[in-house]
Amino acid sequence: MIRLALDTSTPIGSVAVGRGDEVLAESLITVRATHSEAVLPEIDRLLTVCGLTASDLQGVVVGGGPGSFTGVRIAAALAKGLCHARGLDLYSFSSLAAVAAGTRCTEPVCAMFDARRGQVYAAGYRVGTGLEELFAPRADSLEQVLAGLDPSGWFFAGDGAGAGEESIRSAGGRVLDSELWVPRAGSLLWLASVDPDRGRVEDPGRWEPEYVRLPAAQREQGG
Amino acid sequence: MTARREVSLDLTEAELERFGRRLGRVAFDEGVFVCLYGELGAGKSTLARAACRGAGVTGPVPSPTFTLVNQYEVDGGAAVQHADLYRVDTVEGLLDMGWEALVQSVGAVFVEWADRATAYLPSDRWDIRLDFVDSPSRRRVGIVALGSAPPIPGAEAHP
Repeated sequence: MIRLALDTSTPIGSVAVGRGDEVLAESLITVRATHSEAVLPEIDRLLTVCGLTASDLQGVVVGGGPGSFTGVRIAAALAKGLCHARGLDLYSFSSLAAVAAGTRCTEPVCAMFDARRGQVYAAGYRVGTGLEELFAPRADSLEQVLAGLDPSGWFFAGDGAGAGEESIRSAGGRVLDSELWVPRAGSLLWLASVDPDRGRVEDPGRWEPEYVRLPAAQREQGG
Repeated sequence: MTARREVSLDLTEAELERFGRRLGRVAFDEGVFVCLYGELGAGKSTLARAACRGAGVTGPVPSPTFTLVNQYEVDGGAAVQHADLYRVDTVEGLLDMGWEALVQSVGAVFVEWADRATAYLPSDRWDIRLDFVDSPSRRRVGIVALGSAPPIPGAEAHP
């Protein structure tokens, strides 16, 4: 199963091509303004490096947010477009889950992105043979996130953890090295291979990414 | 002039206008997200318009009731955004009008009818409530600075 994975929810975008859980090629792209110009050529380049073409792809794995509003939409639009044009399977995992998976940390991991204006997007995970969600992504102040768990039992990752490093440390939490803050596309490939059912999107045309601050329409109707 | 986290004032329309300009200036300098609450006619639009002026907007400042968000470029490219949620009554509506981008933006944002988005407001913000008082020519203005939002400028007239 050859899959393409991409995440552009943070300033560091990532693209990867893999077979099963084996990453054949992976790129990180730091973009100041927007990922829209850099990502598509990078997909082309990685496929070429791997000796593949778009017609070899069977699935697309997208980091479905939360994160930068514009960035999340870029990955979502690209993923939906590719799936529509080529009839590929779509898988979506939280970009925060991609961060946690990438840490390979055996303790609980709280992944956090800066949500601006005093809030972070945060979610809790335990990495094992798969990824267990300890608390679902939400937008909240750092103080509220820290109040909801025992920080001394957690490792923190993501640019939200970087911005709040002082508060996290003084609450007893440990912040992982900044190299482990990125939602890597390679981690999305791993998630799709260990837990494909959780990520599978039934109807790519109607799928929307997770903005978190605003709940998805489906969840709202479900109460 | 002391800056405070919580302020309550009774102001005439002219005073509201002057105070709005001062608030707008600070909101622009500090990139504050400003939420306005109050009934129809309570003075939200007067205050928001004055705040846009104080933030450096020079041309017309029309109501965003139908456009939902009006964006202005001032001072060499910095953005000032003026939103009105009166016509937004669903979460989908908030999503469609670009609420997430509005909250994530850098720079001053003035939001009328912010109670339409109560559950989705950022932590750092100014909440401004406008109320009628006994005198029809005055309004009560209650302002609270929340989270790490900067303190509220004084109301004394030193433009």
